[in-house]
Amino acid sequence: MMIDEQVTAALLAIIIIAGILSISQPYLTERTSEPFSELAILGPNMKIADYPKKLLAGERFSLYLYVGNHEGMTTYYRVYVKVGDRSSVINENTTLNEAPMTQYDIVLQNNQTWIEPITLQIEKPGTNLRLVFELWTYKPEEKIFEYHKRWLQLWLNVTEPI
Amino acid sequence: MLALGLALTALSMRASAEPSAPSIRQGILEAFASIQKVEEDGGNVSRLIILLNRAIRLEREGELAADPVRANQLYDEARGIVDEVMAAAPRVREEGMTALSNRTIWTAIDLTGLVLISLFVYILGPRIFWILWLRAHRGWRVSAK
Repeated sequence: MMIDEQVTAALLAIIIIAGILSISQPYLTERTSEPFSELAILGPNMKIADYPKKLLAGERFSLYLYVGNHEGMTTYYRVYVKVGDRSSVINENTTLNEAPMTQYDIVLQNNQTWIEPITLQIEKPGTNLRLVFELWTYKPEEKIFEYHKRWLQLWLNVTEPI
Repeated sequence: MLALGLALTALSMRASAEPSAPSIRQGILEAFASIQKVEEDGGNVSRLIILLNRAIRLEREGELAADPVRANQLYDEARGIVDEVMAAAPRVREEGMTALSNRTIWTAIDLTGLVLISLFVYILGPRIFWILWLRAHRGWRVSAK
């Protein structure tokens, strides 16, 4: 009978779709379609504002470092803090060719974020200095840290203390 | 001479056994590599990561400490945590593998259940549907005009 077949088909379709959805849900939620990492600097009030612009050489200033992991796996991050100037070259493929003044390490699980208060000081005066933060990740297979193509900078004018 | 030689040997052995910043950093990286393997095998690495981050923090504090005695204490503590992570990793990995195989079994059970329910619906579905339909409409009367 035609109507029997239609009823069977409709019920089967509902059950199969519901079943596939319920079984695939855990796998879908675990998958990361587009892995990425976040790097940000927050001002002393933990906002994207109030960044220092003028400093005295040797003056201590506070910021917050933010790192987010959306790579789909646990990742070991290292943030290098370097000082450059107007002529320094840095982009997604090239790291700043300066020795790091300090570094921060953190291991984050997937979808975990980290906010760390940091205190820095720049000893050498200069105008249009760039305080650069570079994000690196550790590659256990090669046993090296690799530049993760994420960086940001703060422009600073550092003067001699009077 | 012999006593002096023995003392120097003991001193150098002690020095090599003492944890230093580079050796702890190396240990932290090795511990991270084993955590990543544990995670790949389905282990829950949350606790191990908390421990490893504590070791990273202690190592950093040790580097910044002005007092070498305090620095060594911090390095010792960091080394202890790294060892704890390394020791716990195989157990967590095993738990993860068991959980992963359990999950595979449950998926297979789910799929089998889905097939069985589909068969059941295919064979008995229309009959059950019409029985229910008739029950729901038992009060209906058919009239012909």
